[in-house]
Amino acid sequence: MAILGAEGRGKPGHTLPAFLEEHDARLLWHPSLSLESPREAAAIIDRVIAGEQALTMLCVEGSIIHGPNGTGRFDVFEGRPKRDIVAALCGQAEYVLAMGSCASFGGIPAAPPNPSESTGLQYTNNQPGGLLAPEWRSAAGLPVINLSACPVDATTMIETMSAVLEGRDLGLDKVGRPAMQKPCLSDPGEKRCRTVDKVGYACYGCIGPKFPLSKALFKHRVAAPASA
Amino acid sequence: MASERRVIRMELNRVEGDMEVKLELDDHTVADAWCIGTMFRGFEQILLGRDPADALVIAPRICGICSTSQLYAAVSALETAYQQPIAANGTRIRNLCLMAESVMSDARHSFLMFAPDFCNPAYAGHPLHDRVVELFEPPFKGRLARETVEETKRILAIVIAFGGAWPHSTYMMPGGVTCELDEARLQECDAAIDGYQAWYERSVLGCSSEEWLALETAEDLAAWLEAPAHRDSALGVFATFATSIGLEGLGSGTPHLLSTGCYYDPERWQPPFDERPCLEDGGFYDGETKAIEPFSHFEVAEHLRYARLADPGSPRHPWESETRPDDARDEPYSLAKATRYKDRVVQLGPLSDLVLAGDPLTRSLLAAQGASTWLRQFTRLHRPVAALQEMRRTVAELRAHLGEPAYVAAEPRTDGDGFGAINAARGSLGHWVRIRDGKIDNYQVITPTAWNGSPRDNSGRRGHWEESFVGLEIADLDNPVELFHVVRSHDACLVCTVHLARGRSFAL
Repeated sequence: MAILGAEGRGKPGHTLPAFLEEHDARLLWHPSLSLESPREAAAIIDRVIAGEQALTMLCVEGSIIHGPNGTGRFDVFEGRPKRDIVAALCGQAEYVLAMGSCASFGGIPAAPPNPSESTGLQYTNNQPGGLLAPEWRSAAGLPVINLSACPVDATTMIETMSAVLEGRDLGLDKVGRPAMQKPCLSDPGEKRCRTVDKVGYACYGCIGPKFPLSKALFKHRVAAPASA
Repeated sequence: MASERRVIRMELNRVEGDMEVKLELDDHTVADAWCIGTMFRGFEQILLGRDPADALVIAPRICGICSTSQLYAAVSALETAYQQPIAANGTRIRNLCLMAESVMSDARHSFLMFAPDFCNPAYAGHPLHDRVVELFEPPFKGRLARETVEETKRILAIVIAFGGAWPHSTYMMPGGVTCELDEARLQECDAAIDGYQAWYERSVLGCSSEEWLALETAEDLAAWLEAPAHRDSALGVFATFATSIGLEGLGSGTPHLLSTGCYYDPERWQPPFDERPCLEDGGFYDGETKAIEPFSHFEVAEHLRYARLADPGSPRHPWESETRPDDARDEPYSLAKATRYKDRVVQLGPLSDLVLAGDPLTRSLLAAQGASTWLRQFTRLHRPVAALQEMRRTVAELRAHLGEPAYVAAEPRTDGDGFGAINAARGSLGHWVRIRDGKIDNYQVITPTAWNGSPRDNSGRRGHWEESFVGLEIADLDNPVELFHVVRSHDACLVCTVHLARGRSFAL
């Protein structure tokens, strides 16, 4: 639901309805926003997997859950591990977009001790290989497009989806992040967020698109705590 | 027709989270029900052994819908454990941001998640069909649905002013907030409140806020709906349609209501935190005696008999409880726990929050009709009007205290037990933390949906949703729209519930 989120003081931002209209795009199904029930969604999924329904962009949110003990039973849809359904859909989509740090790299669920046995779509934390092998490519010949950040902001999502539909070069970096991706802290030109250096948190992907203001307060925690 | 008894499973969407419902049907009537949490993430296990401040970053990521609520509950849990003084302006800013999130959530839930079911093919012949399609048709086709996306984004400008982003901003720290407070930010808040209120009056209510807030009884509301201008407003269409399809008598569930209370009083919420001074009171409403008692978190206990988790001997208070998956026993069917208050099955949500806070209109409607799918949803349309006034008051208070700090530093204690709770849009949310040697020794999150969607408890009593499904008549088993209404009236947020379970559907 971060696609309905907001970022940046005084910025109007993009909206999903305007994007759909502008690109004459059809939203096949969204779990929170569609009228069709999951039973009907299951039929849509079956048609896509059977190749009867074209799928231009597959947007995946959330880490891929493999637990317990590699069975995928910690996250099922109609009795099937969702992991298997996502893998089958990836096989049909022209482009696959991982929306956020969890889908990209596993995110916080994949933080130690990773109780749900989570991975990202094509990475696990900073290592290549997740649900999909490092050499996997979508029908359009691209790896998974990783929109990391937690959450990825609506503007980045919509700008990246627009670039895909308009056939523009995404300028993917070595971990599959598009050029539209902003640094998660407000340092211009700095893609690596350096959260760990700044605040002492391990971020497992990212802790947010913008860090709020008084960073000095957070430094107290890392150095000696300030006295009252 | 001969009666037929069978067990079916069904999928539901437009709930935030993964859960299945199993129903035993006697012909078309639900004879019994089981709520089954189906997704496990293990946030509580991830928090164990970490620096307590990590909870401020990790816990809010349990949920992308009410991240301000999770952050506020987490920081309050740490402050009570540390016995740390809090800057009054810090509490004011937290309250203001949480109110903005609540107002946003009420509109998004009502118009993007609940109302789309009015466009269900089952109602194609309804006299108001064209009107509800024009207003609510998903996705984003209905006029009000589109406006809701735009306008709710604007009210988030308040969270943006202080937190930089929504969701998942991390601006609350034990002692207050980390952001600057200045006149420019307060003006952004004023503009957001003015704009949102103008939209709500024009596009939803069809009358002024003052006129709406003057309605104090069920009779007042009935009279208001008689006026043509009101009947034709979005709220009027919503109300007329909902009552015409029988939502007033649908899915009552347990009569007991619970709310922890919300919006700490900025001046009085300080160590030793023995009381909970809230601007919006909480409490326990006993549905049988109609008596109201103050809320005490020591009356909360988690039952694990039917949870697919290791049971170290339940029921236990959350400080003593655990969350470890375990499929060794045969009885369990859900990854969620069963939480009970004074050994009672309770329901949480805006209905409970408004009743316990003493809202006259909600209390009058409860007395007249009892809890129902309609009343639960109506409170989401009603609540934002007074909330916007309270937001204005909070901004004025901040302006009067402009030069004062929003943060007081203090040395964190290495040991302590903490409890923080607020009302998220979908009901009270509690975080319990136990800190030992400067590390998190235990962390338990109990969400409103964990209460409402719980499985059976140790005595075998059904959870609130399970109870609210029993007796439901489902006309078309391939399109169980009645069930959709009942579930959605709880703004089911399963992402957080099965603390571990998150997901999307409701299978039955």
